[in-house]
Amino acid sequence: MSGIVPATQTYRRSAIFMDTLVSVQAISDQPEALFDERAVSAFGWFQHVEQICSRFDPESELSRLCARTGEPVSVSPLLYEAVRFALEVARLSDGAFDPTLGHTLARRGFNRHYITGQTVDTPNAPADTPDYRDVRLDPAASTITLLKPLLLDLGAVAKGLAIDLASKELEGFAHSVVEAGGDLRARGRNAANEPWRVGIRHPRHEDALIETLHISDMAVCTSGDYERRNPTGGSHHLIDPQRGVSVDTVASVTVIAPSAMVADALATAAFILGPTRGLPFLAAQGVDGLLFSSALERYATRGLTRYMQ
Amino acid sequence: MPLPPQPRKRPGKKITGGLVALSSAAIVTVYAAGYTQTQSAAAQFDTPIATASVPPTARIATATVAATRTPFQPIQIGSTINGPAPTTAPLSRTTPTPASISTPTSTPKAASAAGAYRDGSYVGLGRSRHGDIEVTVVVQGGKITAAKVSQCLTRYPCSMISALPGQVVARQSAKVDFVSGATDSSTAFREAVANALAKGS
Repeated sequence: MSGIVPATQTYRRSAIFMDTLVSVQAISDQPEALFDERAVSAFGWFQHVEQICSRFDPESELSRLCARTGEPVSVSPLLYEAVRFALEVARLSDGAFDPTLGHTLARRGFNRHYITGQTVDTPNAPADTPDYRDVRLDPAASTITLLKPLLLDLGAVAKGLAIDLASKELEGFAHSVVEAGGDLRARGRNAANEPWRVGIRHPRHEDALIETLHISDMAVCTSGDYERRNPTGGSHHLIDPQRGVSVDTVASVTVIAPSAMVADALATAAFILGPTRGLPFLAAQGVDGLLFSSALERYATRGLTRYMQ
Repeated sequence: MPLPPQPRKRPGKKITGGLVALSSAAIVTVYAAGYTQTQSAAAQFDTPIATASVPPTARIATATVAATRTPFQPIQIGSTINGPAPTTAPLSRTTPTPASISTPTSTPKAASAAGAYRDGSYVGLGRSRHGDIEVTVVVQGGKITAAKVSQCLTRYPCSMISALPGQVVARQSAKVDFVSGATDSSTAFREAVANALAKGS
């Protein structure tokens, strides 16, 4: 590619959704008004996904679904697809990734914030703890049936889906990035006509980078043990469904995939699988990834080098 | 560096295609099906900014929900702090609103029960990795009629920032465009709203 990016302007808009800062950026020679229009549509998707998939909003479609057990519930295409995708990742990861963890998360958060205010006393999972196999889909009827009382958590899927949908709104621009809280999908090239440079946050130093990747037309998502920590710092939200405790062997996992939905979900799954199982899992899924153990040992898929220069 | 054992080939290639293909199909399906829904959601953008009748703490907790119902509109950076509530959010209009937000016709009593705020505009500051956020909360008739970021970051009306200087990235390294894993919560915004409301309660 010998040409120069014909764009002269970098447009960027930001807003807060899903408790995080969402930024939409494009490099274009088209009028700013056109970008603004697309940015509004892009933010609209974040709003829409959040309204439907929020576990914290009792009025969300997700919450209404989780209020019913043992009967098919007709759901919107968005919720159906999000759940279907989450279940598929759960199946592929043999349950390491499990969207039925909502109760566990809620219970822990509740204990932490309202009762003890201390490190969670992790109860052993009851024998009848639900898992992803307790969710049934009916593609013909577009219904979801919960076989047991359970609380779906689509946190690892919804944000990625919103990023992908927002990115689709920007298809008219050759060069764009949608970024939400450190997860992103990049298209084209940056203002210097190079692949977008995406730094990976150092897991132990907030303001340092541990690696830099060169990304074009791919999504990059990172799951870190530094996110959503409880006040004592003793545990985080990346919980092993089978053990019911926070994973303590991994500091962060970064996944590069064609969609943010895939990257986000697989980063979470690989985090829970840990260093020795997580990387082979990513390779088996055909995506590239970078994992730092809690001792900061570096693990990478072989294909990662293509994103390094 | 230690590397876990990896398969020589990538047996997952096909499977991979499966997961990636599944996500692609999902995105296309949702994008297509969601268009009309988005349009109806867009109608909600015209909903007036919440006239809240909930206690400050509850309101802050639901700030994100409330904010997403507000109109998308560009915000003048550094707009007059004590200015009137945005005229672009007509208070007379009502559309379905979340349970945490009352309609403009709700009685002041609700607000009183929750501890009414004194009328006026209140400014609160919050700090984030992006810099300080200044939020202006407008109280009319004892209720919050508007809350917006008046400096640095815009939010509430879910808004647009003409320039987000440097963003996260420039702070960390001039050599990258973005940082993955640099999670940013809206804590600063909520903190700023809380600070502003503390002055008005």
